[in-house]
Amino acid sequence: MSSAREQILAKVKAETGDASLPDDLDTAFAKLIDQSDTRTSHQSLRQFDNIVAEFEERTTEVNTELHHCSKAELHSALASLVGQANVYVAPSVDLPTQGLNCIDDGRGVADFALALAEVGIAETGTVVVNSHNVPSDAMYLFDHLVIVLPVEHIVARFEDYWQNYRPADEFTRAIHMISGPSRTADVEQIIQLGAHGPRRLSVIIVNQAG
Amino acid sequence: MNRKVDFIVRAQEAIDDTQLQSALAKAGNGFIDKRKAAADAEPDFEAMRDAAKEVRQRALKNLDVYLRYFEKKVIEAGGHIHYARTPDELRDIVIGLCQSRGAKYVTKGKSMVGEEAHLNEALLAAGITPWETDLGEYIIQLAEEPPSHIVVPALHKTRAQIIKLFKDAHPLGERDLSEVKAIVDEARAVIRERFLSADVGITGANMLIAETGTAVLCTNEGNGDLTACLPKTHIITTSFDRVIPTREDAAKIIRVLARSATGQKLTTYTSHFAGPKSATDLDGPEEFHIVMLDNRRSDILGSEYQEMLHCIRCGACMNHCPVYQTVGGHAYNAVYPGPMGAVLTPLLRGEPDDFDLPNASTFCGRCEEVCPVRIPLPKLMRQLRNRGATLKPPSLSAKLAMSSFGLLAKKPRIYRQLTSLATRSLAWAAGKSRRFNSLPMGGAWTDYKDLPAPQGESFQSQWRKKTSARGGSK
Repeated sequence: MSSAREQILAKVKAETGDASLPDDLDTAFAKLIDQSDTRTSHQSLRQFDNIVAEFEERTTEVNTELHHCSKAELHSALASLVGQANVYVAPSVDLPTQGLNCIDDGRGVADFALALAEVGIAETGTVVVNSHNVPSDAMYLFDHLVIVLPVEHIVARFEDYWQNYRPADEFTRAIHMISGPSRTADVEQIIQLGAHGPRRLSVIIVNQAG
Repeated sequence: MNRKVDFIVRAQEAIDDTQLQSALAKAGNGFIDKRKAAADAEPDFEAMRDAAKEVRQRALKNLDVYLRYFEKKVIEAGGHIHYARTPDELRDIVIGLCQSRGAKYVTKGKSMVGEEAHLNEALLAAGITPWETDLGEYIIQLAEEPPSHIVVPALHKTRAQIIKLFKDAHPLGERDLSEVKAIVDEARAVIRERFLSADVGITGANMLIAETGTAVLCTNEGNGDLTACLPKTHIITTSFDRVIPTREDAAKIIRVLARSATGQKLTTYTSHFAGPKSATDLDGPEEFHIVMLDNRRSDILGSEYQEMLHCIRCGACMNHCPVYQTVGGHAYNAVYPGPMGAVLTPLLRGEPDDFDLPNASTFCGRCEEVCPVRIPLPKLMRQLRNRGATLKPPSLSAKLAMSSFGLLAKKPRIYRQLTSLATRSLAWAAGKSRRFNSLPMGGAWTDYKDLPAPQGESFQSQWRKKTSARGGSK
């Protein structure tokens, strides 16, 4: 008797197999991708006049608290945001945290987590972090998540992120796309922030210049 | 004699259930309004729907290649992939994985495939405690009920019922839970401990990306991510029709998913998971398993129902369905309710009574109108009605009615005379009121509303008069 895998794959092949495709799986896959417009079809969607303004509008819509500062001002922006509270900072993140109450493993004792975004996505006001830079639990286990986003890393659409930042052949265990603080509407469809993840999300947009 | 409990009976019970009706009234047209606002706010929305539909068609057209490529990538990333032909096999695989890792407690994110396999009951029977972590799923787990909606599982529960469930299950004393925030905070505190102590986390997946071997999870609460990232083992229960070719294709699906479901532009969390923790990762599970369920989906592939596999599980069809809005999800007695469930249930489960579900439609067509990937749900329901009619012999009275109508319809003269007689007698019997509030054998109608009596002449006789007055030409 054949295994479940063999049976299922055989049935799927019987219904969708295409004899005109190369036998080699990688070549067949590449050929199908080349034949489609999967990489380019998003270019027909409308262009944003100003992607930073679009990002700001969308992210405020989903209850993100937005801050702006220059690179030189980042330290004081962080200090005024977290005050003397305990802050969990991911070890690999290079941020000006001198003078803050930083702790290494903050589960249960830190009020804030601080992370650096890989990109911001304008179309939905989303910030993206990946597991190479930031441990996943930092994104979810703290009441107030603070994400620093360099303005030059704001892209218009998801496809711009995939195509310019994350090569498909490089494995990334987790990519978290975050749009606002955690929420639920499971009780009478009333939106309540702070379901299981952060109750508040602050995004600090950092301008490169002075 | 045992009363047969079919859709009609369950629907009647749902209409008589005042708590359910109050919960449904609260939901009202909220989802309809939110979806409309989201669609109106996005000038490209129709183009986005077309793009999402194109992804679903393309993914299924060459699923053979995409599925095998997905498998290859999952393994390259250090993950494992398992195949289950039936819900039974899925349960055995998941329980086997849990037991061999000595798991006692399992956190769960929402998975409709898990519901298909009744995974919670099976885990409990195997001595493993499943902890639902989505607030809606947690509520119905306390109530020991199945979900009544694929996106909002506890839609049928009122706030008062939820507070009662919490008071019975948690040592709350006199604490006041009347504010929604107090309910959410209580669940947050209880479930937080569970996230930190579970041995295995089980979630579903909204999409599987072939190109990178990635499972995409869309949630608002963050429970899916905590379930996926904290325990040592992450198991994803899903089905092969979720496989799409590329990451760009996933973007095309998420553009219409949340807008259609809740009117959000995107769910709060859209997470991409590929494989276990690697050398460069700071945290994450040590093991990553995909369990792929068939459960007759491979029979739908290539059939006249293939378009049903385009479904992205947004719930818009049930939100807009007048039948669902009236009776809620439990009346369908199926994992998937509403129009998509009325098509999917006979195909996946296929019990004789499941073929009643495609009849639970007024064919108003709103489901097809709002479906983000434009599935022709009324057409599929019509096909299933035909199939149901061949499977289930009609009742004697239905047979008699149809055959006598057939006889009459073949003899237009007698047909006209009889209908004209019936029309006139009904008009006479109704008298001045011109309506009936009761009729022999017509109770199914007149118990709920008056039947208007025929007034004036039939269309055919009016037509005849009109054409003869104009010179008799046809």
